[in-house]
Amino acid sequence: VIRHLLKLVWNRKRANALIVAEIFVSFLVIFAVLTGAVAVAGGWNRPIGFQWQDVWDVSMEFDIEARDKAAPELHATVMRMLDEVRSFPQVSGAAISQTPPYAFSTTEGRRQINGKDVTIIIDDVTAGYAGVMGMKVVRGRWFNEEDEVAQHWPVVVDANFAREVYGDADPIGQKIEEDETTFHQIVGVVEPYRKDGETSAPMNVMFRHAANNQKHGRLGSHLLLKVVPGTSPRFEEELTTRLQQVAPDMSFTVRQMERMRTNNLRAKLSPLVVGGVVGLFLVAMVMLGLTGVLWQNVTRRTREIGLRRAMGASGGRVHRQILTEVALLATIAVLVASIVVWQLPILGAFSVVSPASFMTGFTGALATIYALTLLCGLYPSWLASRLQPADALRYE
Amino acid sequence: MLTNYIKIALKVLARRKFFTFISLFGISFTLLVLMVATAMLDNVFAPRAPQSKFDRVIGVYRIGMHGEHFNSTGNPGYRFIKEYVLGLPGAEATSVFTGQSMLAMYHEGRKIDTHLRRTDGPYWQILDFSFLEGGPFTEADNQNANFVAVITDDMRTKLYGRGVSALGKTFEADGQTFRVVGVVRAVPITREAGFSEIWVPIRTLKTRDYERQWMGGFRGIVLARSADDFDALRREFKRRTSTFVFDDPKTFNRLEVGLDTMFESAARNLLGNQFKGNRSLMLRSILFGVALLFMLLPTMNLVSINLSRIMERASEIGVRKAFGASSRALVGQFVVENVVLTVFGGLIGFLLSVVALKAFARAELVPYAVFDVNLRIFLYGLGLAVFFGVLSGVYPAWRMSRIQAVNALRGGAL
Repeated sequence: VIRHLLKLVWNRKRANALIVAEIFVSFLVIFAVLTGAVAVAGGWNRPIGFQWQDVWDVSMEFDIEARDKAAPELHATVMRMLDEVRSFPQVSGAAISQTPPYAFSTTEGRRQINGKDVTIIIDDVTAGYAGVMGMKVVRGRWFNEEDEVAQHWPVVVDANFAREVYGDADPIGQKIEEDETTFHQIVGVVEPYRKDGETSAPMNVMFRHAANNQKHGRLGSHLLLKVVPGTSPRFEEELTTRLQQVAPDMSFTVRQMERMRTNNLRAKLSPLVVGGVVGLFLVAMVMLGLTGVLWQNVTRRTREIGLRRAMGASGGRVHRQILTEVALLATIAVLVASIVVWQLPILGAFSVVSPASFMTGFTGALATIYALTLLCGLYPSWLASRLQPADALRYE
Repeated sequence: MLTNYIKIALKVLARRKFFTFISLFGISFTLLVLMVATAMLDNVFAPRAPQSKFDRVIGVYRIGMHGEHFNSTGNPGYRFIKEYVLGLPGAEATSVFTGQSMLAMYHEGRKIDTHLRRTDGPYWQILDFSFLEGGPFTEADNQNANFVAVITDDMRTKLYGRGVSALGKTFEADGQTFRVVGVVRAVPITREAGFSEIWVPIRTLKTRDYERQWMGGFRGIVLARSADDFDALRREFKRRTSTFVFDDPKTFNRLEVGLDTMFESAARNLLGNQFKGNRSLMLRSILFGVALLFMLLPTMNLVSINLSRIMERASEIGVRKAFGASSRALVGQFVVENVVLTVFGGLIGFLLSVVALKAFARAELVPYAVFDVNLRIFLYGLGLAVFFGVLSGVYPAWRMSRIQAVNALRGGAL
């Protein structure tokens, strides 16, 4: 029967080619939207490796050149600021970071480690960072006073980094070449850290130690504070005034990480939402169009259908014939689309989305396309099944 | 003839309401998306207040320094603008200013999140702000590092309350106290050079470090007498920068910089400094390509609906053919019909896009963004609708014109 239907489809190949092409493109659209949505939703509930609650961010504007030349005066000023803010009863911890979460800035580097090319997300932090961000050490230790005098530049990596680079081997004590003269040495491993929180894919993270004595590392331009829960936003002004006294040359902007998070999530999610809505409308449009075209087809094929009815085919069989034809068209489109979509992993798509969300997106798109095309065929085929043989043959 | 075609088109549209609905739904939605995108681009790149003169402004917004091991790209520094852009021969005016930086102010126990930009005096001649009170500060104010400021009317309300004059009043920002000398109407964030909420002189910066930096934080713009002067200005700029001496030639030895329009600057940003050739044209082609790709599905949809409709009208076409209508006349008729339909959908799409843009602004997806529509955007939209109509009308029309009169009249297979 299928072969016979294929013949019918083939006979009307020009009109059907368009329908197939439309379903094909719709499949790609649904696949893209679903995969994106699944990837985001999947990451949403997994732990992010830090706590943003009650963290405040003071971004400092200072002379970058002085920082890069490791000017001692600037360093001393920033260290004094750290001490100063710790003296507030509202502040339970303080640290310096270059690229804190949700701040729209990332440092990315590539390193050859053990012959493996690894992309790393890097941040330069002082020893207080883990405490401020509520990070948990799973192996080794976080930075402490020992690191001030360490021979090699100490780093802490996250669990993803450790697994990716060292597998089951112990990462503690491993050395990583920074340049010809400098080596890093891993002193600890923290839980998987996702820099931009809920929207971040798992990444390899490395925290470089910024020493208080300028022995190694460099100062970031963000001063992070953990404040006591319930601290009033009014404290911001007091804080800024004090910092201004310590460093009259600098400019400061205080923000609560909760707000930075909201802004960051909005910026990351709104393209997805807009894309999703546009995709949804595109698909709705195609489906309406498909219904119209199928309806028209049924009207045009009245005589053919009438003949089948006259020869004894039941209404149900006609119903099924039309639906099978539609499903056949969808299958052709889906087959072509699958070939296209399965090229993506070969092109390296799995570095962007996980295989799991890829598969979910694919099967989801498959199910959606069949459900929608059959839905579109339902009304026209019902019309066809209700045709009376006598009327149908007399048509025109 | 045309009026006849349009009359027929309207009659046909009224006949099968379901099909008309499907077509209009698709067309108006497609054009809605395209028009919203156009309106956003227009709001960013078109010369609109306070950047009304930007059809004859070119500037240095980005600079790239390259060496064997190091690359650095970003905004130019004050020193670069001062030495290579300010006072460029042949220019009507030149200006240097910073980007807008976010700023948290504390005023009478309240926190106000705002934006601050530092500018020189000529900035106020090149950009045309509409002053509600007072006026701009001058280059003398800048040279003397006077603590004066221009603020927006929004800012005035936040600081001093609604309907209160701000002239002569002071506020504290970033540990410095400024006196208000002018109030301007609020500026949308999409004006790259114009947007801010507070403007103060550059030399009120806390240190003079910026004066020795080649990279970072500043922009320089050049107002030409007319856009025809761009080439001469660019040549002069190129001649000047060709003698640029690097602080440390071992780190950087190659400069990538140019006087760009806003659009060219965006293209430089997206395509990279390294890109040779006409960046602006490249970006235009990319945008056009994306638009075409987006129209692909709606076009196919409309084509297949149109094909279905033609079949329904086989007998009408047969009659016209039998009475001697040429294929070309039939193609023309059908394309006109389709364009009438798309223009109709375009109008709906335009109305919807006005609503959508309002909703965008209200949702504050981009804070401070105002996307409004004007006649130019409407005309773009109309152009898009006609283009879309022709695109989706030609193939079905061609199929229709090839229908055999005999078959059509008999109502057989086509």
